[in-house]
Amino acid sequence: MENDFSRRSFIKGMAVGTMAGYFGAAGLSSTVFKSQLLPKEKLNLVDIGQIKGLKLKVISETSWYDNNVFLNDVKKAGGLLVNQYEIPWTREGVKAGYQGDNLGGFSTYIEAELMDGKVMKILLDTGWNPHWMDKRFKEEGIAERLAKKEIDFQVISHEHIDHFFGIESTTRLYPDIPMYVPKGFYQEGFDLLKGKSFPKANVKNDHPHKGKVTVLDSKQVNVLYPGIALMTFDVPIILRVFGEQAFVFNVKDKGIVLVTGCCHQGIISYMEEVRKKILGGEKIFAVQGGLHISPFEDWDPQYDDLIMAFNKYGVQKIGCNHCTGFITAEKMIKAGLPVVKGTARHMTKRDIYLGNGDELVIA
Amino acid sequence: MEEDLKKEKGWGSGILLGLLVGIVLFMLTYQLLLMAK
Repeated sequence: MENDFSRRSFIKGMAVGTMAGYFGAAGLSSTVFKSQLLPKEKLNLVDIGQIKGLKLKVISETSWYDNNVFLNDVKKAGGLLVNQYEIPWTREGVKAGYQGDNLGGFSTYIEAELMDGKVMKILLDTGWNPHWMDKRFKEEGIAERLAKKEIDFQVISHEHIDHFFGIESTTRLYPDIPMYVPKGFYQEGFDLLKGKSFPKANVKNDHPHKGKVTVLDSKQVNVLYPGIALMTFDVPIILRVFGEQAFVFNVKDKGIVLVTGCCHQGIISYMEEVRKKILGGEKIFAVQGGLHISPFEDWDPQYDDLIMAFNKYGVQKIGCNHCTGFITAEKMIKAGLPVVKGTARHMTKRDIYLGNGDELVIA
Repeated sequence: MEEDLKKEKGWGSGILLGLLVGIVLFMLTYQLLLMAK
């Protein structure tokens, strides 16, 4: 035996073989055989339940009417990081504006039919210019519903001017409407709710809110009713705002429907979070609301990548509007994404996406 | 010549056994890590 092979060579070979075997096995198990060998990540998926159907009506997606006037206001005040309560927003003499006022607002009316047949009526955001919002609320029957306290609650997606500063349009008609705001709301926001004025920013609230305000944080998925949830994101946003929340609905036989205000958290991050945290999140059926891609109608090549990434989620209806931007909608359509067309009414400039007064029904 | 042949045989059998030992070692550490998790 001793004469058959060199012991020294055998030991050397074994050392090399052991190393090669060990690292080779590690390499193969983490690459070629990873799906068979690596343990699946345990996800604590939240079962938010289901609803029967969903109706989304765009009350106003036109936040302001002249981009240049808006950007000039911001520029004159010192830039995009300046506190929004300190910026003198232009409210007269704007040709493209509503009665000369550059301010519009964002608000979506939501009806969600629960499995027991009860219809939850929800108002997402409250717009900016109270004159414009009063008009739109009246035209779409929201004013009547608010006055009759038929709307179950209001959700403020985030504290931005165009989503929140028109609060008196809601509180004038329904002062004690239950309200959900995201964690990160500044004291000025709560003060405005209570009736404080901010003359420098041309904003006031003559009708203090008297109802319950619930602050939601990002620690968990906040299930409000079976099939209706809110997810909060800790994101810093321009004009010194922090935090945004967005809806997650789970519609029976369809899948997940995401409804956003501005989506400053990023649409891809939002969809990824839904996939990671919500049962059934791998099937996102529809997305509706602002997607915050080209709000000022500018374009950056990285947005092309974003649109390409959007494709892999298999979303069947994209009811985008508002800060998504017309350029983005055009590019999405070109890329074959199912953007839902609108009717270009009530001061929405183009029919390329869901505009003021347009509806998206999922049932 | 005979010495070279012995060396080759030594290397060859060493590597073969080493590979086997290496794979077994890796599987053991993998299982230990899984258990520790």
